[in-house]
Formats: sequence, structure tokens, C-alpha cells
Amino acid sequence: MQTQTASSPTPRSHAGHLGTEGFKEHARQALQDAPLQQALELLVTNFVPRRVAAMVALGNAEALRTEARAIKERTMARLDEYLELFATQAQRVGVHVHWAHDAAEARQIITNIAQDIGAQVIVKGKSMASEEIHLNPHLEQRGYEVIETDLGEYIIQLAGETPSHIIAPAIHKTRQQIAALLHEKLGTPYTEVIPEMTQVARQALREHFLRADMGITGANFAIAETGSIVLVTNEGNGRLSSTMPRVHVALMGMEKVIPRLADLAVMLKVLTNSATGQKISSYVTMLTGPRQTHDLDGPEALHVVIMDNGRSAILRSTNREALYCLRCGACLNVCPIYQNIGGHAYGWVYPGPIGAVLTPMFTGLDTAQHLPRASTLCGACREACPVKINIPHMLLNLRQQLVERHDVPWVERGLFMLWAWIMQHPRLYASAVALAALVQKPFVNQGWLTKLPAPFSGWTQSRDFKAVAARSFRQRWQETLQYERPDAHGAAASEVRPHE
Amino acid sequence: MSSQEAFLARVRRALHKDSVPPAARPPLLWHDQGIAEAAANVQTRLAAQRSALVAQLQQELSAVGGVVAHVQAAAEAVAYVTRLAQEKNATLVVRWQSDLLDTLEVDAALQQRGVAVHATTLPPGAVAGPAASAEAMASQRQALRDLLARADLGLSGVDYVIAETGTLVLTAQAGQMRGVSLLPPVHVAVARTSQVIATLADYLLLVQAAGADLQQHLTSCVSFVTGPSRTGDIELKLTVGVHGPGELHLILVDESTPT
Repeated sequence: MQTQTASSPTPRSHAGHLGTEGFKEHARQALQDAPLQQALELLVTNFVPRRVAAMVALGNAEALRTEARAIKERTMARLDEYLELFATQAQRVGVHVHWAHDAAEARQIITNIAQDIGAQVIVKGKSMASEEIHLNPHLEQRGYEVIETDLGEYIIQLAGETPSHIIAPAIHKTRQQIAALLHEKLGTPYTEVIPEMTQVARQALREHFLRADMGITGANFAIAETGSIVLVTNEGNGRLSSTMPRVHVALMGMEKVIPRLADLAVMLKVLTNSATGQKISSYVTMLTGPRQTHDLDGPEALHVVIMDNGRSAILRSTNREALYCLRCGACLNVCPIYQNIGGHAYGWVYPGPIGAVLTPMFTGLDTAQHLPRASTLCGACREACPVKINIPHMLLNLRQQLVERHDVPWVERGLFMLWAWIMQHPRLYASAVALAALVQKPFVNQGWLTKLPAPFSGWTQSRDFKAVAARSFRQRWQETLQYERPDAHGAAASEVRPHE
Repeated sequence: MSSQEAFLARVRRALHKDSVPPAARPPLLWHDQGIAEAAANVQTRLAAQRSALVAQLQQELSAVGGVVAHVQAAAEAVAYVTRLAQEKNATLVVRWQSDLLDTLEVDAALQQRGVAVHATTLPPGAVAGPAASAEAMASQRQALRDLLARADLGLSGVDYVIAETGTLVLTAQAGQMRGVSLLPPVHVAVARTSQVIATLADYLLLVQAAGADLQQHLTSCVSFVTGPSRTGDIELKLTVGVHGPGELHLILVDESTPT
């Protein structure tokens, strides 16, 4: 992990991730990975029905999603003003607010804080933002001991891997793999009993919490009205990381801000119901400044690092709504592609449908060009999204950019031009269909086209087409009209005739 | 390290909104109605719904693995705590300093059974002195932290309890250490039924109506606690007690109980 970071030319390094260029090969390998397939099966059978049941139980899920989206739209339209208000309010209660243009600045800011306070041991709550800037290897290279404390993140840190799901980072590992890992790395007796494994981790991590100088977390929300940050967890890693060490640093993407305290009720509800099907997570922590004079615990200093790292470019683009994402993971769970290949194949920090949108925009469309194409555009992600992000539309936007940017093979371009021209001429279209019904004959296999010759062979490599019908819809429609109305050439019939 | 100005200017450029005159923009923050009036309405509604809310709370908290005891008398609450402490073979209980817990006189009952009790408060005068007190505070904090790290049971009050989700609302104040509900393996919270509210939105409105300085009323930390600490990170199997308490008990003292 370290050598990769050191040798890569830009901050956009993979740092443990597979990289996006080999997507097809990674996907192929994932399909043959039996433990992964077993884990993904679990994910589908657990998360999907839980979310659906929770949404039904809410009774007003549709109205809540609409409201949550409206809050995001309103915030994003005046993001600069809300960020400024947040900073003013946070500073008022003694928060140190930092601004990071890119990943390198964010890492530098956090490293400087660690250096200033003489930190040695750093505990981390679960944070996708810190994954995004590959913070751990950076801090470790500088001699800091960094411990992930979310159980799933801890497991993959011990394994030297990266998260494969936004909220269930170790979903790709079986309990036997985890049991062996804990036994090997912690020297504790081997056990496959999950509560026992959890207790082993609790004890190991509790010691780290008690000796850590610095805690790093993300932030699920930042409330402009009050300057508060909000952490949403189930285990308590966010609470402990923000309470026990003497300094707490929260790293957040700039899109995390919401305008009002009252907005939290809506946003929190759609987040937890979508993520895990919970009405609320076990712990929600709202932090407004560091500990006050009379407080008996809590950190003596609170730093909030607000990060752009490519977000202002997304804000400017036609895919602005990608910034509405709450990182709930619901779109991953329902995606037929994610369900089959898991998170690692996507090659970077954010997997699944939202990852297929975010990754090209964060790391460059050219290298990540396979991701927007790795979608059936079925729309399940949009249906599941707590803020109704139109992911299929954004994927199409990216595909359009790819087409505009690159030379499409002349055969493909020519065929599409021909197709468009024929479509505009109904009589020609009818003849073309009739011709196709004849020409296809040698290739039809029980009503399907399963293998076409070049230049169409690529299309049939992984999909079958229904054969062109012997009698077209238009022909049958005409016949129906004639059957029902012998005077089919009358005005009424031509009115309902399609295309003419 | 970007300056705030440079950072926000970039965002502003991305929004293409330099042309919109500031005067034409609606206020950044707004309220649908007067806060005081809305809060008064909430209080009236809550008072009318109280018994239904208590029932809902019991159902919701039980559903996420919490244990709810609805008691009629202070003595019952004390008996519950002492019985639980004995069941857990507890030798050390750390508790919030709060009026309700003080009036219950739970300390004496626990001590009689050989359980040490420590309130998370500073000895009188520790906060008073000017310069020297910083060191005194630091050592007091360290002492309390050490106690919490080995406590068998944490005993707290609550600011509110939310019925819709079975959620305890705990603020950080003098006498109310965050760690009491976080570090020990068992957390017991004691609340009056009059502290039960319907929704998170109710709480956010009530705190907004509490006074002019909203940030001060929010305190440095509000913890919303709903059931025991849980994880599904290994094969999505629900397991409790990963970092926070593995057990959460809520004792609801009926408000008609004389204290």
C-alpha cells in the first residue's frame, strides 16, 4: 500500500484499490470468487428487504424523500453561503475550521494538527472521506499509529484491504476468514462465534481508545445554523473517537452541510431507514464545539476540515445532484451489477451505482470509462435513493461525454446514422423491417438472435436479441383495422395510425 | 491550505450565481411559525398523548434490544438498579449528578450491598480557583476517566426520551459525563414519564425554544442513544456490545410518584 502511494505521480493514487482501468477483468474475477458471491447473497437477502419494510413502515416515505431532496437542492444552490454560516457558527463555539482544496491539502492539515499536538496514537471512526484521501497510509508513513475502530474497517485494516461497501466495509469476508485474521493478528484463541469475535475486537480497540491522543471521524451532517457536526453510528466508534482522545478532527466533504437544525429530523430519518432499515441508528452524536469548561469529558479541541477535492467541479457540472448523496449504500444493495461483482471491482473508494458516477468525476472519465457503462440503466438505484438522485440520467450524461470525446468506430457511427435516417422515413422503415425479417433467417434460433456475424458480433457476445417478427406490429395493426372496419381508409382510422 | 475566501470563491464560481443580487435572495434560515408558539403547541400535544407515548416508547426501545421498566414509585426504581447491579456482580457504579438520581437516594442502597458508587462531579471548589484549577480539573478528569474505564454499570438521567424511535437524549453538562452512557458494559437511564416526547423533530423544536443562545442549549454534545451498541459487520449478523454498552435499561418513573 505504501509503495503504491509513494510511486504514484498524483494524489489520485489507488492506494490499495484495484484501479478502474481493469474493471472488466476485476468483474470477471469477482464473478468467480465463491466467498464473495456468498457474501453478496447475504447482502441482497438482508439489506434489500429490510429497507423496503422500513420504508413501508414509515408510511410517508415518498413525502420524506421529496423533502430530503428539496433540502439538498436548497443547500447546494447556495452552498457557499451555507458553508460560510457553518464556519461562523462553529468558530463561535471554539471549533477550528480548516479549508482543503484537494486531498493533499486535507492530508497536510490533519498531519499538521497531529504534529502540533504531539500525537502518537490516532483512532479513527468510520469515514469514507478519509478513504477518499487515502489518509491512513499518509499518516502511517509519518510514523503515526492509526487504528480504524469501526469493526468492519478494523477487520479490513488488519487484512490490509479496502472497504467493499459504504456501510458494511467487510461484507466481502466470511466469518471463517475473519476468525483466522483475528487469531493471527491479535494472538487471541481462534473462534468462529461472532459475539466472541466481537468481544475480542472490543477489548483490543478499547485499549486503543484509552491511549489515543487524537480521534479522526467523518461527519454525516454539518448544521449551518448551529455549527454542529453530526455522527451516525451503531457501534459507538464515532462517540468514542470524538470523546476519548484530547483532540478530535472531523473531515467532511463540503456537500455535507444542511441549513437548519430542524432539517436534521428529515435527513436522519431517510438516511438510517435507507442504509440499514433502522428508524434511527443506535448512536447519533451532535457535536457543537469542543468540551466546555464545566464538561468532565470530551476533547479539548475540535477541528473540522471542509474538503472540496473535486466537488466544486461536480457542482458546476450537469451531474450536480451527485453531491446530494448521503452515502447510505442503498443503491449498491439493489444494483444488479453490484449484487454480482461487489465493491472492489469498481476499483476506487466509492462503489456501486453512485460510485460509477462519482469515480469518473473524481478520478477522470478516461481511466474510469468502464464504470458509467457498467449499468443496465434499470433505475433500481434511483428508486432506492433517499434523496431521489437520478443516477441513470447521470450515467447517460457521462456516456454522452465519452462519445463526444472519443472517436466512435466508423462502422458504429455509420450504422447509427443510417438507423436514424430510416427511422425518419416510415415507409422505408417498414421495408427495412420486412427485409430484416428475411435476412435474419439463417441466424434465428428458436425466436432469438444469439449469434450475429461481424460487425454485430460484439452485441450478441453477451446478450440475445428477440428475432424480428415475421409480421410486424404495423402490419398486424393494419390488418386489425381492416378486420374491424372494412372502410379502413376512413378518417377515424388514419387518426390512430402510428408514425403517420 | 486554502483560505476560506479562496475556497468559497471557487464554490461561488461553480454556482454561476455572481449575478444574483444578495438582496433578492431569501433568508438562509427560516421558521415555518413562531418558535415559542410552536413549542407551546408541542407541549400541549405531548401532555395529551403522554400515556400513548409511554406505550410506544416501551415498544420501540424493546424492539431494538433495550429493556424498559415502568415503575410507580421511587423505591421500585432503586430496587431495580440494586437488583441489576447484583445480577451483574457489579462492584463499581458511576453515575450522573442529577436531581432525579439524587432524590432517589440510590447511592445508599447500592453501598449497603457493597457496590461503590461514584458521581461524575467535581469536589466543591475544584472549578473555583483561576490558574491552578486547570491542573486540578485535568487531574479530576483523568481520575473520573479511570473510574469509568473500570465501572461495571453507568447510571444516567436523560434530558428527554423520544417515543417514535425509543431514543434517549443525553446532553453534556456539568455532572453529566458523556462516558457514563458509553464506557461501562451496562447503561441504566432513569427518566420521568414527563420527559417522554414524540419525535426527534419535537426535541429539535423544544431546544430551539429553550432560549436565545441555541448553541449553549445544545451543549458541546448531544448523544441520541437508541438501544445497546450494535454491529452487523461480520456476515451482517446482529451483535450487541461492540464499543458501547451491550445492555441498555430505561427506568421510567411515573410522574405522579412523589419524590
